[in-house]
Amino acid sequence: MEEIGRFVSRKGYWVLWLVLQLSAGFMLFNSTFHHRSLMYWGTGQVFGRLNTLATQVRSYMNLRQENEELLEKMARLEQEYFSLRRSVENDAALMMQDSVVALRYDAELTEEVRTAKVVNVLNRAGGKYYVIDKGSAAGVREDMPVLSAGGVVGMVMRSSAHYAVVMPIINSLHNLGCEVKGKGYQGLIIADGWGEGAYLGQVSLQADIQPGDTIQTHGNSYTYPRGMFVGVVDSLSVDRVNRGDAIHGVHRIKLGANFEQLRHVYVLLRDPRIEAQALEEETLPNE
Amino acid sequence: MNRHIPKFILLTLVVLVLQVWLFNPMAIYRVATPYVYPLLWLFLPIGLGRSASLLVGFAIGLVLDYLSLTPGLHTSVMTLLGLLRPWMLRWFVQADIPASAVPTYATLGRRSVMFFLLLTAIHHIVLYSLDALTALFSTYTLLRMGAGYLLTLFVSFIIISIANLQIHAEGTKHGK
Repeated sequence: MEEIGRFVSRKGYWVLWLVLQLSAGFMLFNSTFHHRSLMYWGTGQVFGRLNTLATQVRSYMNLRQENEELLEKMARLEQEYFSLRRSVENDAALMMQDSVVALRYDAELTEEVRTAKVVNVLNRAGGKYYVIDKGSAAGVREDMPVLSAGGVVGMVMRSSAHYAVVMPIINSLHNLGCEVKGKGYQGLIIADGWGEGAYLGQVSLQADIQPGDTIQTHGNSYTYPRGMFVGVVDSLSVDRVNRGDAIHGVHRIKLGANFEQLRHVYVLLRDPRIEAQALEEETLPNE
Repeated sequence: MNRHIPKFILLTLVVLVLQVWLFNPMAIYRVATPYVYPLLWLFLPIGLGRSASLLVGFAIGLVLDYLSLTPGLHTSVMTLLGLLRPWMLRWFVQADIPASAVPTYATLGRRSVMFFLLLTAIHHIVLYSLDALTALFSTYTLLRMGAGYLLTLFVSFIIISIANLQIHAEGTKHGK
């Protein structure tokens, strides 16, 4: 007690100063609107920061649940987006049928056209194959020709109920018979693999073929009708290739169909003339 | 020391009247307002106790605030100066100076001027800080503070000179 008394007598001016200073401060902050507002502002700042901190902590605690909700929402939106995109692309593909109609007009066709979308690309030893999303349920059967807005794509190789495998003309196993439009020179489309382009082979060396000449199907098959646009002659080959017993010209051609960006194709629901083929095989079994 | 008290009270009244009705309304170029009342600390004895110093500062500030309609502002500053004054005097006063002497130019010489410059500087910094609080470092507040400080020093030196002359004249008369 004595020590407290000594402390107060020795350091009592600190207590006195504190009392007087607080009194003055109290008067100051209760007097004018300006200082009162400053006090409220300061208090608001402190409690505002505390509230912000508390909210941030609460948000962090709820982050996991929010993340899950966001993921669900994103998946739903993505699904909607793809659905919309699919319908837009399908609509665009249907609009492009006009150019296919032009091809058909050229080939004097009357068959119905079925729009299909490329759903997969297969790369096997022999070359490239496309899988489309239309099959026998939509009337798509083997040997039917497949087109794109640019030109001939290939032919249907096999079909299931809802899908079909298409062998494109760039596949090395596919030899498409063609002719030079307006000149009648015939040859075969030969592809030598990925990205290497296609050539018009087995053409007579005397044939008057110039770059820019149009290549179209010659129609001597049950698959492709005559006059379907295939491409144009890009350049005349300097090298002459020996194929079989005769020497033929091999000219590089630029294909009409863009095989690198193939998204939609059109199948010509053309009767593959099964009956005629059967008759041929019956009549000439050894050929 | 007791004979100094009536003179100090009289001087305080004069300074407060001048401050409230002459200097407070003054704002030269809208920035410079002289606050001369800190000079009263020069006319209190060097040996004044800490508690007494606090009480005197608080009382002067309270009266000034009451008359200026600024409750708490000058009281806060003067109370703080009442706390700091004894420590500041330790730096400026030599040991051989009697406790009853006042820290004017006649007693301390140049040290008195240094003491007053420091005292007034602290006064102005605290006063303008309290007045503005959040705007302490704004250009306008600093300008007001600097201009007020210079004008305060100018006016204070005039008042101190007059007061010193008066005290000196009275001392001479008593000496005769």
